[in-house]
Amino acid sequence: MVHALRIAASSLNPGGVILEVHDLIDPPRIEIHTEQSEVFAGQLLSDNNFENQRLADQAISQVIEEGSLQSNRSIIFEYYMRADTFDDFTDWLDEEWESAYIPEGTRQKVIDLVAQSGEGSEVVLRMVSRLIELVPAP
Amino acid sequence: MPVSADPEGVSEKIIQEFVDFSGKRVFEIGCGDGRITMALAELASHVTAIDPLAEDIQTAQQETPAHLKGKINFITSRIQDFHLPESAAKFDIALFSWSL
Repeated sequence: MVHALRIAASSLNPGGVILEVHDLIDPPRIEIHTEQSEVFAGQLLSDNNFENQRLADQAISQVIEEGSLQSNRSIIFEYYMRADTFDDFTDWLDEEWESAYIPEGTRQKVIDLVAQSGEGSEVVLRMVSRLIELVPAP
Repeated sequence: MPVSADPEGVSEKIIQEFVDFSGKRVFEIGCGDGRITMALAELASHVTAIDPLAEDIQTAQQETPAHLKGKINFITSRIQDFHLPESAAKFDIALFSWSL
């Protein structure tokens, strides 16, 4: 990851910037959304403790500490992953995010909330990411 | 689609508002299926977008609207293997979107 940042930096014009986005290490919230409500069901956990996010944080810290890049500014923002059904949601997790898992208590709560909510409900993962601007150090 | 990633397009809007992409040469590393690439290409002068997965690059190429085809160069490559020709212009913005 550090090497990738260095290559990106070497590809820039003078005055160029690197933008980097990744999810925060905090476990994302699983919610059930209907037109009328947004109900928290629990958190999505990771059996590698969100290692990819941790490694990205470490790589950015390293290039800043070694003085090759400096951080200008950053912003935290939220976005959603929306699934029509709980089965769709778990299928997507199996395919796209192998290290993620839903604790049993949360799994049952999601199933119960979806059943209570009826037609039109969505299983939603509330993701939180950071966008950071890095510039080559003078 | 049963699962939608950021259907509200929040991430594209945040990235576009964070930096002025107008007329800029952009290098996107890890472009996936090109969802963000195409949003940025609407503003940028040119986008070079790389991804190691040939299948994703093929999808991105197929889904690129006609009016953006001349502004985006999709390349199957890891960043470690990517070499910018010496004669080529460098970039104003390099972007890693969930790809570092």
